[in-house]
Amino acid sequence: MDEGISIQVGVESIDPEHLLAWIADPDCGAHLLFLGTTRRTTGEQLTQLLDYHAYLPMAEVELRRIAAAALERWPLKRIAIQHRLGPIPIGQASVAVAACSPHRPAVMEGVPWIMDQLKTSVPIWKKETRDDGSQQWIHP
Amino acid sequence: MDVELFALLADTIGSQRISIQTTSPWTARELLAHLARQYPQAAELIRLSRVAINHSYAAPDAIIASGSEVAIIPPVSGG
Repeated sequence: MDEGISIQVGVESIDPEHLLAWIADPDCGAHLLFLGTTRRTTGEQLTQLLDYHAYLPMAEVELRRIAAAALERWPLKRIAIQHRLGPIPIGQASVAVAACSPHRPAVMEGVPWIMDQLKTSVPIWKKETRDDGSQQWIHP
Repeated sequence: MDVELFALLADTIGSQRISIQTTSPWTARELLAHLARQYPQAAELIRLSRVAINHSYAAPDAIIASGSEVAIIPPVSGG
């Protein structure tokens, strides 16, 4: 069923072209894609790898709820959210949010809002491996 | 009832799933209080965690019906 929302949570790597193709809409004048990527540096610390774990299917349920709330709140036409799981080397995309709207303000406000909600409520956790080999769960 | 645990909470308690015998249904708040007493080493993290019932966050006063899928969600760090 395509109600304008696509949710994907799994080990597949993120393909920006695929997401942009999915949200393509000739009635939209604004298409926005956000990529969250695994960062090497946190202050003085160097990260080697981030390993993402999810509570499925609740993570998908929460992402769909967030996307549906964004569709209610802004005149967005299509939203695609993908979160990658498992070990992700530094510099690769771990999360993507793509959306389109007839005019620019809706995507410019809606996509950051979706990311804020995702980081607050979606049951996904990351475990960091540092360059000295030590591992720890990241908790906000 | 079976309770699923995740991430640092699962590591601190030492299991991804625990079973609890109850004689009457508990609220989400009562479940968290029980776990904090049972696993004092995880009490601080449990205080920051939320209960999910059937894949939705539960209000503290929500009653956990028997047969529900119950999980404790420690602070999330996706993205």
